[in-house]
Amino acid sequence: MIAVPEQLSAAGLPSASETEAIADQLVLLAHRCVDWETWGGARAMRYWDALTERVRASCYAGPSLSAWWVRLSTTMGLGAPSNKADRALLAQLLGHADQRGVLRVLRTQTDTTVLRVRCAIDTAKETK
Amino acid sequence: MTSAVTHRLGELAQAVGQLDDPTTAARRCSLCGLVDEGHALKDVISGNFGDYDKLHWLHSLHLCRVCTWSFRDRSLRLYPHAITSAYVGRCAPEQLCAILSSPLNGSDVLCVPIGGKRHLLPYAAIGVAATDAGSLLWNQADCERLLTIARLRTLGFGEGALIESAPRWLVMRKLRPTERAEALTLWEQLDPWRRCAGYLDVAMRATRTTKETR
Repeated sequence: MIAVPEQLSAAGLPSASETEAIADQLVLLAHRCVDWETWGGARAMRYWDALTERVRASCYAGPSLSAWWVRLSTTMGLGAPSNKADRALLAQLLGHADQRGVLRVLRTQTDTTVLRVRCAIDTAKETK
Repeated sequence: MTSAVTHRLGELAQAVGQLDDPTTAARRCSLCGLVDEGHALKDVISGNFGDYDKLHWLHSLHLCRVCTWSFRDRSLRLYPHAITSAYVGRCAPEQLCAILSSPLNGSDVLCVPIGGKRHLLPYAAIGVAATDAGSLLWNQADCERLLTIARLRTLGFGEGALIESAPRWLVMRKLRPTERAEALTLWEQLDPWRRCAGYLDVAMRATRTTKETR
């Protein structure tokens, strides 16, 4: 599977600030951890709206990205990252120095962040 | 309204409207202060009128012919009207777009009704765009944002989508990757307008196609 940063950069999206780039990677990682047995079928139509709502709502779980990830995992039914590279990346991102900055992006620019991730996923599908 | 604006409105009245014959002798106009024949105030405004604070000469209870027309003519509340050095009259979207493609200068009068219920022209000021949300300054940055709106429309974003905080996926998925990147960049440029009511309404009005205007 293509690495998260490469998948985002291959989409040709406008460049983002550091905190926006971290937010993009976290949301893409969350998408990769989704349990499609839960979100497949008829629920798939609601998936992106639900992800957007819960990314935003999880920002109020606590002052750290770890609190955000735990809340998002619970509400979206996320599993653990499936490969070593994603696990290492998640650990690195959750330890980012500017926790508040990334949470601010996730809270105030949720629609744009999820849209960027969606564009990256769509571009990767078309490239395959 | 000042008498200077009234004078310019007289040009517009000649271009698009018809002034009613006066029914009262010359007195000071309650709205613009000009001494002219006109109509009794009670014969022009309705029982729902609520802008008495804008009638600076209320005691005369009289409106001049031009101010009377500016209240009575219903099309003034429905369609944009402009008085500029290049154009005087009602504005189709293309004309409105042409006027807003350069900054409004100190002699232009422009009214862009949005809801169709408010009187704008009677209270028009020079050098700003009057809308339901208030008077808008229009400078070079706004001209560039108007071009941004026009470009996003050609990419497929409708009026309902343009007011949202992020581009809609339903439109984005039909675009090529380069166009998606362009849409995301252009969307950010509209952030100042999203914080300030009125600009997006005016720009969307100016970038409507003939089909949307019908």
